[in-house]
Amino acid sequence: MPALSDRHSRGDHPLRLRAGHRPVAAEPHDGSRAMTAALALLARLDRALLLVLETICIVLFAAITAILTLNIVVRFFPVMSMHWFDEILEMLYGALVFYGAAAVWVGHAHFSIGDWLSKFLPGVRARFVYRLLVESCSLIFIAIFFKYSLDLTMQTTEQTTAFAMSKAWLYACMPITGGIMVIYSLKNMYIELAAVLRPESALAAAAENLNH
Amino acid sequence: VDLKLGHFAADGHPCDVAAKQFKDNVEKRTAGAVKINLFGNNALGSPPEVLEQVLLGAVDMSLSGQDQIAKHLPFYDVISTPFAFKDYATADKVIDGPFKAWADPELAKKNLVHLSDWEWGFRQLTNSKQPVNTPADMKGMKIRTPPAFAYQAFVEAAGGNAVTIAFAELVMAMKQGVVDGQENPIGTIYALKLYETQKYMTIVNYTYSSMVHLVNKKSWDKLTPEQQQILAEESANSAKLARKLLRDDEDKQLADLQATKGMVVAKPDLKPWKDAMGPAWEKVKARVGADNFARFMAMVDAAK
Amino acid sequence: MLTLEIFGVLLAMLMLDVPIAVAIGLTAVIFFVGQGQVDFLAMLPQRMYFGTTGFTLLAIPFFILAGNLMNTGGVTQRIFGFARALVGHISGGLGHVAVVSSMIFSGMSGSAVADAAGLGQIQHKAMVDGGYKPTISAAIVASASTIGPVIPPSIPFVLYGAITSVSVARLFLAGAIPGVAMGIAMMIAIGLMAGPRGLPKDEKASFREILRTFRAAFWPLLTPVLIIGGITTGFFTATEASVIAALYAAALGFAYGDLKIRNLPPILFVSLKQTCGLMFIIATANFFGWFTIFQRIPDEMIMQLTAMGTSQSDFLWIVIAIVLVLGCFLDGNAIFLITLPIFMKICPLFSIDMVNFGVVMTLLIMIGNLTPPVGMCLFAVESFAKVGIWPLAAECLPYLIAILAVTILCAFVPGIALWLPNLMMGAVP
Ligand code: NA
Ligand code: NA
Repeated sequence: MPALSDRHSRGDHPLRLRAGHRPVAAEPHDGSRAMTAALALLARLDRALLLVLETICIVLFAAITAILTLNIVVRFFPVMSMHWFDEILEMLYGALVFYGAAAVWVGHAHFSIGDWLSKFLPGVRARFVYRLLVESCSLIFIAIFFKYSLDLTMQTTEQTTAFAMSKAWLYACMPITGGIMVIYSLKNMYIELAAVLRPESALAAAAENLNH
Repeated sequence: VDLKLGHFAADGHPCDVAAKQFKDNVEKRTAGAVKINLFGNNALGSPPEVLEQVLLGAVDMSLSGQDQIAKHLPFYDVISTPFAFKDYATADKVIDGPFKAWADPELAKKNLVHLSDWEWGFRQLTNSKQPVNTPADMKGMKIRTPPAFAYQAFVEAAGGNAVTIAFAELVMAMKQGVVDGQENPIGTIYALKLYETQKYMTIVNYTYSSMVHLVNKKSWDKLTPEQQQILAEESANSAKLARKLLRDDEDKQLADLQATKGMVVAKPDLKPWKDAMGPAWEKVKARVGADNFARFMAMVDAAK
Repeated sequence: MLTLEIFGVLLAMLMLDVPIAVAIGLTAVIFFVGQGQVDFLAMLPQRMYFGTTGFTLLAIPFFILAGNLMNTGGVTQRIFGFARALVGHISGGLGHVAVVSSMIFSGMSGSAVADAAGLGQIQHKAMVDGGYKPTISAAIVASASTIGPVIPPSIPFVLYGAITSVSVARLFLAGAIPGVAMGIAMMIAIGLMAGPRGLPKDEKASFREILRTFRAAFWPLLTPVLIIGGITTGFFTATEASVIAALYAAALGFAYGDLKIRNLPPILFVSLKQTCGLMFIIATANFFGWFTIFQRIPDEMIMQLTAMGTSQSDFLWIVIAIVLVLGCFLDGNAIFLITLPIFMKICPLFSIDMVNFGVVMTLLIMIGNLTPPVGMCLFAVESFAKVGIWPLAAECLPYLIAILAVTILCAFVPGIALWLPNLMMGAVP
């Protein structure tokens, strides 16, 4: 049951670095004020984006709850034919899953078994190269997902049964969230890459992170 | 050349048997140059998903329901117009003849080559509540249909409530009594053992479903003209086999359903049913366009 | 051979700390590309989309939400209090209370990790306050939480039903007796160790005290009746039952005054994040499953098994061994998604009942929740118990053996699990 406890709540058992301990941020020691300002803006964008994604998810979920409840009511008082409700539910749930997955991705909290390997690696640079490799796996996969989900959405000629709308409306959640996830993977890659190039400053930044 | 064929017929269904014959004969006649890989029983996904896989070129061939094709080519829904075909002979004549001539160029625009039509069958009504002889008997009944426009239009015109439930959840939904009834060909009712929960069957033959043998154009073009010829011939042979098996089975299954499975089968006068179809026809007409509807009905009239 | 390569790549990526969803999806991508079949990547979004939008899977967010609401809404404490009055005085004391309260809570919640993280904290605090060694207490809490998804409702059963098209209602009923058996087996283990380990116990509660705690827990105790009764009588589907459970949990929380409107958005969002993290794994695993079928891996394995002259019991032992090994490294839902498309094609060959197989698989992944290095219930309990993963896992061993005994019994005596569903819903010929 991975999803039931995300990275941040799983605590620090001996094999795992807490997410907060991960040397990810190189920012405060990069010097230039413009850079700091840019990163501050980025952080604010992060929070705004997360808020938007959270709101979307909660609204979608509320709609799903309402429709399912209505469907139970209609079961016992059959006032109308509800065959359209499947289609709406599919659309809402699909969107919920992918917007939610994007929110988790932005929070860098998709479940993994934990970093037990870093502490065995010789030298700081090797550790960052290793993290870079892991990040690049995520980036490659999500970039492929983005490309092909965009293709699928653009190409589909299928119409839905009840509302005869284009299936592209259902599929659209994938390229949108895929795009968001690609951008965040690129950002993570940049941070890891900066760390490989300047491990000392990254380590200091990580130490600072710890004190928060 | 390795070709993958995906379909939704269960093991032992006439179309599954016909697909195996298709595979054997094609491989034999091309001396192994063309290999057919079969993926039956929804192995690659549900029927609409497999059709999309063929459209995307990931799978080479499918046996797809006409209702699935209609989601890409809306005019295809004419074929499901309730009570258009009075028997198998009429359906064969139209589907193999003028309708194929009409549909093939349209399918070609979607990069699909249409080889032949295999068979799913005429669809019948079943329910767990009471004998149904006239539309009035099924007033307010909750009837499961697949997500198919024309089938839902039929159920609603006949006075029932259409409930969409996926094919995979059909049996469970019947067992739980979530709905009162469903509609499917006799062979499907028999194979899924729906008689365990559905005591009453009404032979209405309200619409005819075929399994359309489609090939992705890119995969088709990988074949030599001789190989294409062989595929087309063997597809037609398999279509014939599927129809023969299915129709022979149907009589036996119907007898068995009544004799040993305790099903009560009604064969009502269809006049009141047809009279009730006004709204359904209007819906189909609105969906496919009046011209297309008239064109199709002319084909049916000519075939009678 | 191909099968081994594929699982090798997958395990390597998992061990490298690549997110599970990515590791599963990327493995299929790597093999498609490696075989020069780049075209098939077009299927990635389609399989991911259809892997997540099934009606059955809609139950998952609601069961997760129901568990979270009960943990916030005061339901958990009431159940613990009732269990304590009932069995606190038996030799082994609070250990039995933990198991019994887990069994009761299992009737409302669908996930082991949620039980460990929510109810588990209350159990652990009470046991440590009552004189238990933290390691022993944590082990009992972690083990008891695995009863959660075996007694219905259950997220693994929902997922199993969605993958194999087996009736979720039937699976729910089939889990009831094995779930209770798990609890009893654990209580026997606790009882055996109570003497040598000197586990403390409570005074026997008065009848009036039992009645008082029962009254306090009365409405929560009705949840299983509502859910299971509703599903088996055809009042609603498993998905609708999950909605009812969540609404009911919210109503109880508000009625007890422990849940406030302002608590709702955070609880909702935490539940949705948990759901979507899980569903994203389900999405990419659906592509992986399609890939294994496309590569004809099930057929290949069937051929090998037949060539080896494998019998039904051989096959069951093979399954038990494979899932226990995978369970050390992978979380249970991921195991379902990558192995079931293969196993479900083989089971009919050995005339194995798919409902019973679902129970056995669920029991096996529950053991996986307790085995290091990756054990989700270990992690959840460790997050508040702080006793160390390896000492905790070692202390879990007796209970793990108890669960394994129940698992093997269920695997080879299908009647244990199937008796109840056959009684309530009629036998499947
Ligand atoms: Na449960
Ligand atoms: Na494990």
